[in-house]
This record gives sequence, structure tokens and C-alpha cells, in this order.
Amino acid sequence: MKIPKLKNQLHSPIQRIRLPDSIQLQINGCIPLVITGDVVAAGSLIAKSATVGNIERSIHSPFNGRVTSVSHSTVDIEGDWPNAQTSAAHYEATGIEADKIRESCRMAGIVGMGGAMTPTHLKLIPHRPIDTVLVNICESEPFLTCDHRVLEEYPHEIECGLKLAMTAVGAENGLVAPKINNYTSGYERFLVEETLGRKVPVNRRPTDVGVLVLNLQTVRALYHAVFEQRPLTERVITVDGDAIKRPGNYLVPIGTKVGHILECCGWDENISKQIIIGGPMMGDSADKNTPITAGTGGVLALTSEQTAKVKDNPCIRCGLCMDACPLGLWPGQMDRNPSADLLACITCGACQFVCPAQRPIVKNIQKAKNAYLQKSDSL
Amino acid sequence: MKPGPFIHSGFTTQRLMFITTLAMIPMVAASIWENGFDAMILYVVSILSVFCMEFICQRRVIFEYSALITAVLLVLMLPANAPWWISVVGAILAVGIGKYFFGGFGQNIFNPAVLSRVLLMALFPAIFIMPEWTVDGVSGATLLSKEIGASMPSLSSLLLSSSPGSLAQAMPITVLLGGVILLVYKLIDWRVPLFYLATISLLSILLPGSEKILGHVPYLLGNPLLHIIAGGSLLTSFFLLTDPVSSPFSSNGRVVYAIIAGVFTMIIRYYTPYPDGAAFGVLLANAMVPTIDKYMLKLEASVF
Repeated sequence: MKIPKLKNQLHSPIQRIRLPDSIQLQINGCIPLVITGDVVAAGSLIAKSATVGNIERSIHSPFNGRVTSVSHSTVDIEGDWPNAQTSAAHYEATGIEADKIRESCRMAGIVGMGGAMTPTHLKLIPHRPIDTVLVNICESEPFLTCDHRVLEEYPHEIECGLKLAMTAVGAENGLVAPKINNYTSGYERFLVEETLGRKVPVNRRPTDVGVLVLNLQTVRALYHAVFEQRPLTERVITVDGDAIKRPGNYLVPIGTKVGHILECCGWDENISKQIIIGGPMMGDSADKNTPITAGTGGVLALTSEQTAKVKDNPCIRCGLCMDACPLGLWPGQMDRNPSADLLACITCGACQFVCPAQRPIVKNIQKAKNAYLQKSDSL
Repeated sequence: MKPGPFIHSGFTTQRLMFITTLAMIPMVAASIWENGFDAMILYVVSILSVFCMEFICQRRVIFEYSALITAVLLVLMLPANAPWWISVVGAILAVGIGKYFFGGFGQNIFNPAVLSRVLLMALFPAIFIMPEWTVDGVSGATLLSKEIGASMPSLSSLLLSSSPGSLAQAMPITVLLGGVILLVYKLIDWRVPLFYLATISLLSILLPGSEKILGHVPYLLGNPLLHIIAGGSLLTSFFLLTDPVSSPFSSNGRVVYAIIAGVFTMIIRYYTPYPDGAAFGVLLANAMVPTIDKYMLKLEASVF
């Protein structure tokens, strides 16, 4: 049983969404550089992390506006503040040598846009020799088509971005990974194995076998940072689901609230059962006030027919979860017999998707995983 | 904590059990067509008794297709001339011992209907015995034990005509039809019927005959077709062995399981007084499932 693709928006061109009146930037772990009442320009630095070793994050304002509130984890900005400048690049591009690319990347605050949100300049430091840079375009989550559209409409930017990444790590080969028809093939370890034939051991990263995997939109952000001196303040997301009247691929400022996006896309509140931020397999439930982050690939509003019901019926040992598991684990029974297998699980959700008993397998596994970790810590 | 996937395949236990029920309709119709009112009474009594037992065990009124399937399978394994009360006892054994002794649906080691059938055979041997064979101690009522003459019946007559034995043998082609429905909807693993029937065919050629076979039914020796169609093998391969709850978890495990069931079936058919080993074969294979799972998981976990 395959995970459906549901790529309804493959042919919808990227549109810019109407600018929101206010946004909320998530600044967890960073120190805000603004106070309430400050007027900020598009691209100006809002928050920055303390520099520990090489780790540094910086967060920029996507538009001109006024700061309305600042807390330890969020900064709210109200838009259309009349006295603000129209745009501002707060740093200068310095060149396209490896060091300079990393520097631009650091200054622009680029993070992994596939969801993990690791600062990209860290990934561009070659701790081990890297010969291949792989751009992940699998976009395995159902519904999501934003990466596909970006590649379709901006192939030149992706190519340039890829070359920058190759220069930064000193790689000879760059590859835009071909689309593979399998839901779990987007997972880095499998992608590297399937495209390059290099097996990545468990608990290792692709860099250990000389491959750097980057998300497609991250590569584009790298291009913007180096050649256009633009910090990471916007991304393309897919908006879809049967409760959306105008689904499509939209360019949205990071920090835009889900409520604004739904409003712009014709959200039917009456038939909407579940709002999801990210994909339907590994995404999170959201409400109108949840802001978009750099790692958000989509906003979905599903009707009750589209949404899975969790019933927790007895396991009938049909084995479908095992067939669905990309790692060959036994997802339905793993929580009963805790073992190191639990740590290998990547919570991709394929098991729960196929489970006829509609059991909350992912939740059970995560609970068992936490218990197992605590137990092994105390030993 | 990740909330887990928000979408589902739509393939649920309810749907699985519902389509299985539909797949059994041809068999039930054929058995009523052949045996008339007697068979109908057995079905009605069995279904009512199973739901009464479910009510007693769960203390609430329920309607589950899984219970309906158990009730119908139980009757399909009874001889046509069985008295009506045998399905009451069968229902009590199937639901009470087969299901709730082990902790309810999903926890049972054995297929409830098969366990009940084997217990019935032990409790009321007379009902399962063909009169002409009692002197020899050959109990049971299938073509496999009945002398049908020197010649082997043709394939079409085997598939279409009623042979003495359990109700499922009224018209073997309907069992096959039900099996095809299950396979088309991918409700059962094709490996189970394939490997089970293949093992039976192979062993029917390879196994040396015994006194029982040579004395009463010599045409059974080296005759795979008869072994597949005439006994309970078809019903077993598509409906009894494939019960997900009591079969192994992994697809490789299910291959081993089907082969084990086939071996047991043939050994019982050839070398024990019992005419048809299919029911015993299922039970013995069911009992081995935890072991099969354990070793298969170890083998398959070598992915890393």
C-alpha cells in the first residue's frame, strides 16, 4: 500500500501572497536586538544568537514595520508602518570564495528549509572531505509541491546556488537528486544510497560518506544571499486541502500567521476539520495563530473525510505496518518490547497510515522511545 | 512530540472484515442450495449463539463482522447432517475458549473457529464419523476417506458437485471464488494459499502411502488434485490460515507458516486415523507463530 502523492498543485505557478498586517518571528535561542516600538526595515536584523563556536543564527524582518511585542521566544512586527524605509540590505556581499560564501550564508541567517532548520553555514564547513553536493527534491510529503515549483520556475538560481555550495565545501560533483516514487526515499540516508549507491550507517550523516544533502529552497536562499544580498525572510509553501478554495503555491514572508494564509486562500471554516503546518505525514497540527517558519513546507486544511481518525482498535497482526516501514522494523509491536530498534525509527508515519486498526502507532513509539532513553540513561 | 500522520489509507479492520464476509456469501449460498433447510438452521443458530456469547463476554450489544465470520466459518466446517445444537456448543467454544480465554479479539493464538471445530471433534466424535467407517476407527466425513470407486472423478465434477463432508465442500468452486475475491482486494497474502497448496501437492506425490491409505483409498496416493479440492484444504488455504490475528507478522514468516501447515495436514491425512488434517494443520501452525515471528524478525532485522 503506497502513500498517495496528492500533488494537486504541481502546475500552479508560484504567487506572492498579500502581505500580512502583522507577523510573528520565532526567535527561540536567539537574543532580540529590538525593543517594542522600534521601527524596522525589510531585511534588518531582529535577533541573533550568542556565537558559540561557529554556531550562529540571525533572524531578519521580512518587511517594513514596527515591533509590537518582544518576548524570549517571539517578536511581533506590525506591517505598513509609514515612516519605514522601503528596503535595506544590512550586509554587503563579499565574494564567491569558500570563506566568503559561508560568511554571506551566516549573515543572511540561512537555515535548512526542509524542516530541521540547522544553520546552513555550519553544513558548509567541510569537517570531512566532501565530493558531492546533493540537492534533495524528493518532497516526499503528500500535497507539497513548493520545491517542485521552485525548481521549475527558477532552475538558474538553483544551479548557481548549487555551485556556491560546491565551492564552499570543495566538492567536485553537484547533483539535483532525481525524483523517486517512494514516500520514504526523501529521507537523507535512503536518498544517498539510492542515487549514489553509498550506504550511510545508522546514526551517521551523509557527510560521513562524503555527501552533503541540501534542501532545494535552502540552495535558492544561498543564491539570494550571495548574489542579491538578501537575507532569508521568505519562502514558498504549498497551500492545499479540500477546505481551501484557492489552493496553490505561495511565496510568503517567514513569520506569517496561518490564519492570514488561510484567509487569502479561501478557507472554508465550516468544513475544515484539521489545519496542518508542514506535510500531512510528519507535519504538526496548527491553529490560526501559528506562524510559518523557515522550515515549513505547507499549510493544509483538511476536511473530516480527508483526516485520519485514531481509534486504537486491537492490533490484528496483519503485518502491514512492517511492510510499510522503510527500515524493516516492527512498528505495531515495538512499544511493547522496547529495544534499540526504537531509536532507529524516524517517525515517518508510514506504519500508522496503513494500520487497519487505526492505532496511534507513532505516538506509542515516541512514548516508548522516551521511556527507553530514560531507562538506558539511568543505567 | 509529533502528532503522527493526519491521513489514512482508508483500509480499516471493519472494511477488511466486511469484504471477507462478502467473499463467504457464495460458499454459504452453495451449501444451503445443496443441503437445504438443515444447513440454514445451522447458520442461523450459530450466528445467534456467537452474538449471544459476545454479549455475555463483553456485557454490551455489539455487531462485529469478525464475530459473524467466526460463526459462518464454524458452520462451514461442520458436516451437513450435524444437529442444530452442535453449532450452539461450537459457538460457545469458539467465542468463549477460542477468543476470550486468550484476551479477546487480536490476542487469540488460535483461529477461534478452527479451535472450536477440533474441540467439537474431540467431544462429539460420533457426529463427525461416517457410519461405514466406524469399525475401522476412521472418523470423518470427507471424500478423502470415502471409497468413491476405482476411478478418479473428473476435475469439473470435483469442482462443481457436492462431496460428502463439511458444508464448505458443497461446491468447491465457490470456495475458490471467495479466495479470488480476497486476493483481488489484497485482504490476504497470496503466499499463504500458494505455499500451503504447493506443499500439499508436493507431499501427496512424495510421501509413501500407509496402511490407511492403501487399505481404503488407494487413489489418494500421488493425486495432488484430489488433496487440494476434495478435503478442507481450499477453505483452509483462503479463509482459515489467512486469519491475520493467528498468522505470522512478516511475509517471509507467512511462507514458513503455510509450509508447516501443509506438512502437518498431509502427515495427519496419511498416517493418523483422522481423515482430514487441515484443521489440525492450522492449529499446529498457529501454535508455532510466536516462534516463527521471533526467528523471522531476527533475520529481517539485518537490514542495517
